[in-house]
Formats: sequence, structure tokens, C-alpha cells
Amino acid sequence: MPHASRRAPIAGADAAPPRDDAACAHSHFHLVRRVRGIAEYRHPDNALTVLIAPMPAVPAALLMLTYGVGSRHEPDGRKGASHLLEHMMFKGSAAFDERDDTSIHEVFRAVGAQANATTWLDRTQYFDLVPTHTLELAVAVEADRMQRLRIDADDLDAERRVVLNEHDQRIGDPFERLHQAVWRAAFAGHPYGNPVIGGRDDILALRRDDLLDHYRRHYRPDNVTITVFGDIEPALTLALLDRYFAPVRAADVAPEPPRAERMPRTETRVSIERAQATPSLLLAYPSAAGASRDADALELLGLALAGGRRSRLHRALTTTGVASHVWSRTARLREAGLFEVQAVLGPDRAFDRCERIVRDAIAAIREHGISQDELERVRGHARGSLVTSRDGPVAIAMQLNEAIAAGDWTSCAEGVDRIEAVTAADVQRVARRYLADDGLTVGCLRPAARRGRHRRTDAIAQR
Amino acid sequence: MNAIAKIAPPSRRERAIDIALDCGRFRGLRVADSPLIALAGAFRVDAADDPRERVLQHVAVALAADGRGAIADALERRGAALSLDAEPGRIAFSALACAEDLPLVAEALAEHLREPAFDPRDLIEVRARLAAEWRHGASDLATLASEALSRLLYPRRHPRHEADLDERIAWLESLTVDDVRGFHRDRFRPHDFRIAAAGGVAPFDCAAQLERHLSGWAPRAAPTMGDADTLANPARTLRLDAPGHSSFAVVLGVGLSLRHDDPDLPALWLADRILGATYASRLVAGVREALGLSYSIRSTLIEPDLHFAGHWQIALSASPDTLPAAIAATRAEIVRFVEDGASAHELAAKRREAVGAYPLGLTTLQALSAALLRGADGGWMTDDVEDFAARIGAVTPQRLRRVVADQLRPDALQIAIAGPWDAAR
Repeated sequence: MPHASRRAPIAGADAAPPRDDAACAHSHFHLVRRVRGIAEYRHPDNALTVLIAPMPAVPAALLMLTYGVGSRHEPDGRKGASHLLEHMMFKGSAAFDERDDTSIHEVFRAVGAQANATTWLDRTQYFDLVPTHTLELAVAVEADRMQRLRIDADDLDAERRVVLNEHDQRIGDPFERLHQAVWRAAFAGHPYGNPVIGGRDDILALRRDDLLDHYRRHYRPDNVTITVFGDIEPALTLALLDRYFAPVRAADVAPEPPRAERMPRTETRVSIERAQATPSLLLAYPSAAGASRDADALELLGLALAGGRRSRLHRALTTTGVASHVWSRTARLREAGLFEVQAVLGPDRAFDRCERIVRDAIAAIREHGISQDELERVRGHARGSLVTSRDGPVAIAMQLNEAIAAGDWTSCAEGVDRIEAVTAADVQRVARRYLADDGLTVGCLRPAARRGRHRRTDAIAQR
Repeated sequence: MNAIAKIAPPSRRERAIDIALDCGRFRGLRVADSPLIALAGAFRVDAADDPRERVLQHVAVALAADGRGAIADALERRGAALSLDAEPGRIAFSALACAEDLPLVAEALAEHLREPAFDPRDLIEVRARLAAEWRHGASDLATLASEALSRLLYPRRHPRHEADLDERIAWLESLTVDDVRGFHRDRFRPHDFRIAAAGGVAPFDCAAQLERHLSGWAPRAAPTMGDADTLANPARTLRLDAPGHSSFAVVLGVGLSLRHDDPDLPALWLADRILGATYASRLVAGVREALGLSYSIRSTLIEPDLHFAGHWQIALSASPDTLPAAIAATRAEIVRFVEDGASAHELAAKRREAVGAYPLGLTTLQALSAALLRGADGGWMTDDVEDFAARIGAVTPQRLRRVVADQLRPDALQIAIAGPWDAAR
């Protein structure tokens, strides 16, 4: 029987029915629903969606904007635009510009705020952790750069170099190379197969007008969800958001993402070699859409396979020395993502044996399912890990951000309940439905022939 | 702009409480309504002169935390996290769990610290795991450069000196389970044992749970602390070739002459924030934002502690075509800082930023427990923002300039650069 704290809401409690919601008293927002302490509001004029969760014990406020635009929405010729645009969003807008000594970094610095952003396949996220009494400043910054971004040509040149260095740094990571190769093969013809940051040539080709067009298409109040957590008062927070965002007009027509091809349904293999790479094997199966209940069952299946010392693959691979590490992950995206199992090979580099063990373990679950005791173990593990992973507003916001991007924020708020609802039969069903050999992509990362590892080329006296 | 502040309800945090344990000190802070509990703690071990001992420390820590028994199984079934870390001259530990799992976590912690099983089968597994992690870490250019810098800054006997990867792997493979058992028997003792907790459990209840399992755990001979100083080598630039990469990692560093209780430390801490410890800093503004020469650039103080010297390091990434310009721009910022210091206006702005950021850094239980532990080491109460403001409020532009000139010393900077040198030629 789960204890009370494991079922605790993310914040506060679910209470009043929509029509009686006092938080809307000073704004035009109306309450849509309230789930596990998070209230969803919508603005009638521009369809802006707002999520509010008071957390009185947190001595700060967190403002997060999740725009429904990521690399999935980039047409040919604009690969990497969402990410480069995210960088340019810190360079200045009409009211916050370094040329006027009001750069975003400087105004946030003055109050000690932390501001950052991330771009992924389905979404672009901006978040500001601020002292509560300065929340209005963060709201003003976000409202201004949603409408009146400035892209200066010199700024763009400098930032393009920064992004090129980010790209160069990222592809130096052997695991990132393996990941990109597997996703490219698994999603051939689908935008999920493109790296979010774009290729070097893509980044070099992006023009100022491309970014401005991308910005105008996607940065709109009807394409964003604003989340506010922390030591806040909901009614005044909504009033503040109403004041700054209500004047922003929604688009007349919401742009559709480019049409995507279906994934191939044949087994695919990719192999890459990298100097000094740690040998690694990655098996990736097409999985369920991120917000679906099947994705919950796949998460538990992943734990049964590779979640901790008692998992099947830990016992079969690491205690035998075939691998030193093994883990699984379920990419929870708007569309069907991938269910991945990755192993770092032991000194024998037994790729074939490792692959056979992983495939046999998956086949065993397809055929026999998991026992009730195993289900209880992984369910307890998942439940406890989920609750403890929500340590603080930023961690909660990050999880909520992915659920928003996947199309249903309540899948995050109700995460514990959804884990409880998964049965052993569900685990076997999703193993049979998704983890089929004909959709599998196998990636191998092999160390290239040794040319001398990390040679010290020279040591020279300075000056 | 103050509308929200007027009605924001008061924080439900309480004051931290210090409690004596049989084997050390406990500091706890209850956070109302939190369903979680976070623990952070540490105790001192010998900082052995022999760098092989440090590999042994890593293995002992990994094995101690790698239980096969019923308690470890219960922890896994609850999704609770408990980890041990080998640090220079000490072993640190931390836990994050649902509040109702505290009794289980306390029992598991005591088992890890006092009577781990040390199954020989686990040693084989842990050796393979550590070797893979170290090898994979060596494919990260920033790690590679930082470890090389440690060898330029610290003597081989110093606990912050990172031995070469091949040496560490060879030592790792030579260790036996008896070596590990011996290390545990002699070193896993409550010397300067401190533990902090933050979350939804009252401090006295939390301390009682810990005392129940840790009572009777006794110290042995006091640890010895070895060589504490940095090297005084002439400045050098070390180039490490890492084929297959498309970028370079650069780390510049200089040893600090300050000790952990030096009154200049708050000035040094503020100077680091001005130089590059935060996003709104000179290095980020100059090298990244204005010139576009680096994606990640940051300065970090490896602060001196009770026994060991520390260093100041600046780390940056650069693409092959911008590497010389990125290093030159970084050095120019350092030299400008040393020569001109910071104006009263810049210092005041940085102080306001630090005071504003202080509570934001305590919005997680893990950060709170870690800060409580640091506060216990430093002798202050972590939840008191006024104390913090007073500590950094005493720093003047003159003092800051003197500290920067004394400690940063551009001519003494050691530099390690890792990247595809052969390919770049």
C-alpha cells in the first residue's frame, strides 16, 4: 500500500470547481481544470494557457514558457533554426537591449535571477527562477521578447559562432554520435531523425530572415504554455500575466509541422567508430506517443530490464562482465519516440553476446511477461524515483515541460497514479506491441584502431 | 513591480537546529509539507601520500555502497537514492528519499558505513564499472584537460592530483578484496563526522533515527593529512592530442595561497563571480556574448579546505578556427581584471546579484542539506541570508583588487589544452 507522501500532489490541493475559482477574480483568465495541485487557466482573447502551482515553502518564483516549436517544425533549409533562435532570444528585444543598458542578462543579474532555455524535438523552453518580489520583471521580459525580438546582424554572427562551437563540442561526445546515428536511422524521413542543433552547414546557412520568419510563425500566445510555481499568490499572478500577455494577438492560422514519413519497419543496423570511444551497444525500438498510457507501461518495462541491481539485464550483463553498465530510457515525445536499451561493453567487447542477451531478455518478457513481485518492485522503484525527482521547482518544471510538449501536462501531474495503474499484463502487452524485431535499430559504437591515447604532444614554456 | 511581493505568503521554512550525536554532529532543518528528506554528510579519512590509496578509497566507497542484501533491495524497491563519494581527504555521502523512508535510509547508511559485505564478486563488477567510467570520462575533453591541470598544479602526493588514467586503471586492477576490507576497517571511522538533513521530518526525529543506527561507531587514530600545498612550477602550456574530436577544451589554473579560514575568502568568492562563475560575468559577456568565441566558458574556485590548498581555474571550449583568439580574449579579460580590479559600482551590482541569488540556490532539499553541511563546516547557520549579506558586504573594491592581484597572477597560469591537435595541423 503506498504511503500518503508518494501520492501527494505537486502543490496544494485540488479544491474549488471551475466557476467558483477565486484566482480568476482580478483577470480575464478562466479556470480549465485543476489536477494534483496544478491549476490550468486559459485566456479567452488569445488562447494563452497558464499553469499555476503555489509552493509556499519555496523561497522563489519560477516562470517557464514552453513554446510548441522544436526541430520537428523546421522545414528543409531551416534545420537548427529553433535552437539558434533560442540563443538569439537572449540578445535583445524592444524593451530589453544591451544597447540601452537593459540587456536581459543585466536586468536579471541585478536581482540575482537565473534564466536559461533549452530546445528539443517538439518544444522550446525558457525558464526564469527569480526572487518572488521580482516576478513581474521576468514576466515583462518574456512578454516583450515574445512580441518584439530584435535580431542584429552582428549579434547573429557572434551567436552563430557560439552555436557552431556548441555543435563541435557535442559531436565530440561518442555517445552523442551513437545516439544521433541511431535516431537518424530509426527516423529516416522523419524530422525526429535530425539533430536538434542542426548540422554545421545548416547552422551556417541560416539567415536573419529565416529566424525572423520562424519566430513570427511560432512565438505566439496560442502556441505557448506559461507555468508559474513558487511562493506566489495565484490571483495576483494571473492579473500580472493578464496585464502583460492579453494584448499579444494570437495567429490567424496555426502553422502545421512539416509532414513526416512513416518509420521503416525493417531491422536496421548502424555502426560507428571513434578514437578512444567506450564500446557501447544501443538497441532502439519504435515506441508509443509520450503522453499515452502505453508509455507508462514501457517505463516499467525498462526498469524490469535495466533499472537497478535486481533488474534482468543487470544480472545477465554486469554480474557476468559482458557489460559494465546497462540502462534503458523511453523518449516521451509528441509522436511515437524510441524505447532504448544501452550497454557499455566489458573488456571483452562481446557485442554479439551482449546483443543476444538483451534481445533474449526482451523476448522473454514478450513471451512470459513479468511476475507480480517483479511488477511490485519496479512500480515501487518508479514511484519513489518519480517523487524524489521532484525536488524543487526547477526539477518539477522540467518534467512538466516535457509533458506539455508531449501534449498532456496532466500526465506529469498524475504520474504517480499512472504508475500505480500499470499491470503486469500491460507490461507484456506493450512488449509485444512495440518491442518487435522488425522495427529494431541496432547501433554499435566501436573504438577505432589505437593511435596512442591522449598523447601529450608537447609541453612548452609560456613566454 | 512590487505587487506580488506585497501579498506573497511568508516562507514556511523553520530554523536549522544543531544536535550532538554519539559519533558527531547533526544539523537539521524541517521544511513544512515536504514529502521528501535529503541528507548530506561527510567524515575525514587519511589523505594518503600514495596516490594508489586514493584509487583504493574510490573502490572502497563504490563497494560499500553496492550492497546485495535485504536493505539494498528495500531501498531499490522504494526508489530511494543513497550514494557515497570519495573526495580529497574525506568521504561524503548523500541521500534523497520519501520522508517516510528515513528509517530505511538511516539503516542502509549505517550498513554502508559500518559493516558492508564486501563480496568478492562485487569487486570484479565494481572494478569493471569504475574502469569504464574513467575511460569514458577521458573521452570528455574538459575532464581530460582538468585532470592534466591537476598534475601541473599539485604534487603527486596531494589529494587533488589526478594520476594518469593508465596508472589508475593498473592500480585498480591490482586491488584485492582484502585491500578494500583493510581500508574500510582503518579509515571508515567518524572523524569530524557531520550530517545534515532537510525536508519533511523534524530535526530531533531525524537525529534520533540516525543515532539509533550510528551509535557506538567509534573513531580510531586521527587521520594524517599529507602534503597540503600546490606546486610552484613555472607557467606551462600542456597540449593533449585527442583524435576524433572537433573542438578543444582549455583549462587555465593557478594555485591559491589562501587557507580555508582566510578573511579574504569572501572577496575571492565575489571576484570569481565577477570574472566568470555566473552567466552575467566578464568572461561570458566578453568572450562568449560579444565575440562569439566559446560556447561554454566559466571560472571556478576550487576552494581550500581545512587541510588542503585549492586553485582558481578558468575552463572554456573553442572550435579549431577560433582557439587562439578564444585563449587570447580570455587572457585579456584576466589581465584587465588583475590590473583594474572592479569599480565600486560593479562590486555593488555583483553583491546585489549574490544576495538575490542566495535563496534561489536553496530551492531544493538537496541544495539545502548540502548548504547546511557547508555551514556546519564553516561555523555559520545557512538559512540566514542576513549573515551571508554581511559576509560579502564587508568586501571593498580595494580589498577585492588586492586579492585578485595576489591570487590570479596571469604569469603563473598553468594551461592544459585537449583537442584534435594532429588533425588541426
